[in-house]
Amino acid sequence: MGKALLRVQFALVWNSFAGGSRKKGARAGIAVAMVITAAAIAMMFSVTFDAMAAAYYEMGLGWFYFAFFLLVDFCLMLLGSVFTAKAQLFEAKDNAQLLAMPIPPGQILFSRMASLILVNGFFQLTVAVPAAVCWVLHCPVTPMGAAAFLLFCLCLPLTATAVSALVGWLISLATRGVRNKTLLTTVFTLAFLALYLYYYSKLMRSLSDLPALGAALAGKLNRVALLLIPGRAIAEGRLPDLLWSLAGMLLPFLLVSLVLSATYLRVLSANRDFARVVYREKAAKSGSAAGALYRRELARLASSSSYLVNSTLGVFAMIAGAVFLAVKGSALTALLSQLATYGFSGPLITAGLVVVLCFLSTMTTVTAPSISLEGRNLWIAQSLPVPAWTVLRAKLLLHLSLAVPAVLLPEAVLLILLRPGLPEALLILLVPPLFNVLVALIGLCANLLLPNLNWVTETAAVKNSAAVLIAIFGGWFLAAIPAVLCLAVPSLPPLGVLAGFGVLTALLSLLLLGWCRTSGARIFRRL
Amino acid sequence: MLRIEHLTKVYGDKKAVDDLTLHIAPGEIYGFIGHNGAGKTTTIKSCCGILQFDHGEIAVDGVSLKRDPIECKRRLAYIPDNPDLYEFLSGIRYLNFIADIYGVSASDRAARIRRYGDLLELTGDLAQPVSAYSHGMKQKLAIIAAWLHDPRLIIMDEPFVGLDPKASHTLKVMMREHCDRGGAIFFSTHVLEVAEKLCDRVAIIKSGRLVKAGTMEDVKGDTSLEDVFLELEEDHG
Repeated sequence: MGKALLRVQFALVWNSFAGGSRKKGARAGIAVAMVITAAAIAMMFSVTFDAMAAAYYEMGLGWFYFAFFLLVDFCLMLLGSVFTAKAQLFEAKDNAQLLAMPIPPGQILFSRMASLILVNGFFQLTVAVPAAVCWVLHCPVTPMGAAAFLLFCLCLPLTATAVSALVGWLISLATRGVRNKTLLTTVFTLAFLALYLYYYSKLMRSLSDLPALGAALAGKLNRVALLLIPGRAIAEGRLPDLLWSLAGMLLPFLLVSLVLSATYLRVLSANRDFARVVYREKAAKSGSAAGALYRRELARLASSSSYLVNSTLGVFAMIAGAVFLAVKGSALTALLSQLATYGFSGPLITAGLVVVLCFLSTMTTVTAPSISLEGRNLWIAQSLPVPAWTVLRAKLLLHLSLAVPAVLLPEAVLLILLRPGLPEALLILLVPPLFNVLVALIGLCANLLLPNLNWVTETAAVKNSAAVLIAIFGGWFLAAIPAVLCLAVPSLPPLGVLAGFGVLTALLSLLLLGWCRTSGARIFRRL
Repeated sequence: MLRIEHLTKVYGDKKAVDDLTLHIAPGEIYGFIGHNGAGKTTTIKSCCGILQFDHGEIAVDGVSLKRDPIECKRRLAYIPDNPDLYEFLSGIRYLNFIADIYGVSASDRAARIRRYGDLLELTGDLAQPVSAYSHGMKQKLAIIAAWLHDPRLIIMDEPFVGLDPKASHTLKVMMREHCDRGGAIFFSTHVLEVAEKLCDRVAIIKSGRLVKAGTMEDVKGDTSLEDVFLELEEDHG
């Protein structure tokens, strides 16, 4: 019974990534894309670890290196799985069906937690592999240290999953019976994310002076046993530290598992009704079909914190960036003046800023899960007397109505701060919004080709989705083109590269738009 | 009102619907009966334009579904076997969404929502999110949505499942009224007693093929519809 549940859970995880594709070639392609994605993230972490390993070893702060690894690893897994845990453990659509079967509730819980552990293990690889490789390249390794590292890699996903499940349970409990639960959950998530990014960026800024940072942080953190002991267990291979650390990692998992399995049935079967609102007839207003479809997309986005937070991170980033620039504009101008002294020309800086805005734009992925999110309601959109393209256009318009005004905000602040010439101003104003059109179209096309309509939780369609990965990394790949060209071929005029990139973006957008209107619409009708 | 000519739909190497021909006239309530997996839902989804068929022709009110699917969809309403509606909308917002799509004027939609909402005793719950509805309430909402744009043809897949006895009776009255106004209804059901009492004509399908069709009197003769159905099942087994 347990095995059958596990098989279903793992199949759901894989299916949500694979978009339901049964073709061997497509599955292999998705697996390769996932490996490339993981490798790209691992490369980013390896830059940090490579800078730290030798420096901290020489300072006798090896324990801090591994404590840093464990902390980053834990936070990444927590961030990646907390809302999946909430959706998968407490809000899955098949909970009632499974509870009606002769399966102990604890087994349902463990099968769901097992798939979360698997996903966390995948996240962990992106941090653990670069941390291990960078250390091995620069520093000696003891057998006990290696064993401790491997054991921690096995146990930490359990701890992260336990904390995710606990936080997910608390959020689920706190928002039960609340009407505007999306707003509450979104605010909570954004606050959590902002804190994580604040401390991470603060740490990264300090990396330029590793010894000072290490000494300062290590001095503070060696009083935190939670970090000191496991860090020391790997770096110095101390057996008591290893045992204490393992106990510290496994205990939360065991405790949370015990508490949740004992209360799982009660939690799931608790009355979730909120106060009944009696309908009072108001004057009816009529609107257009296109407007109705747009409002439907907006309502879907606003109703799901998972969709809202994960798909509009770029919008929040743009707004935060614009506010930051408006408040700390002098810091930017000082930085740009400093860059100018290193030989970075004004046009090159303009190109760099446009590339940054394009990279941030890839974090808005409203269209990428929008087909999958139709799920079991797909019959409604397919039976409406409107062309399939009208339905798809509403999805595109929602993405653009959020992303384009958001990107215009930092653009406006940049124009005020930098006061560039007309050609540069036009490129700043036009290229990022055009790029947003392309990102929206990539997401829509990818989801038309790789839809996952049989999800059990919305989070699966939003987060574990091949289409979302394609939209993000396809966007990164394209946004990197002008940066690579400008840096690799300095003889090319940066504004010319940027203009060429704008034309390429427009052409690709037109191509994808044409595909969506014809083949895409046909695919949607036949889903 | 609905002409199905030589409809064939193949899944892999299995013919789900095989050369099916049916004509439903204005004013008729047409029942569609068959065992599980006989091809009823496939036929119904093909008629609504949400499933592409391989051969044959379907016309709604004289308009070819292949040539002008949008015009066909404008003239019909569809209620699926499972009322999976938008759970992120309230009942009234769902109805307004449907009314906007079909271009129902503000005054007509207000009057129809009030009328059908009261008939099915759902008016008081229209402000609730659909996610808070029971299966029966979702079915009632789907029925109101189907009647909202006053379609010429209403196609329903197992419409009585989940409805309480009073709502079932109300639906039967609504169906008859609709046909008396010149509309037509094509629906599938497993409840043979309902089909026997309600339908003007009936078609029985088995393994994708039509085995019997005609007026209720022609099909059942002196026996009951249930006896005819079971006999046909055995004959064509």
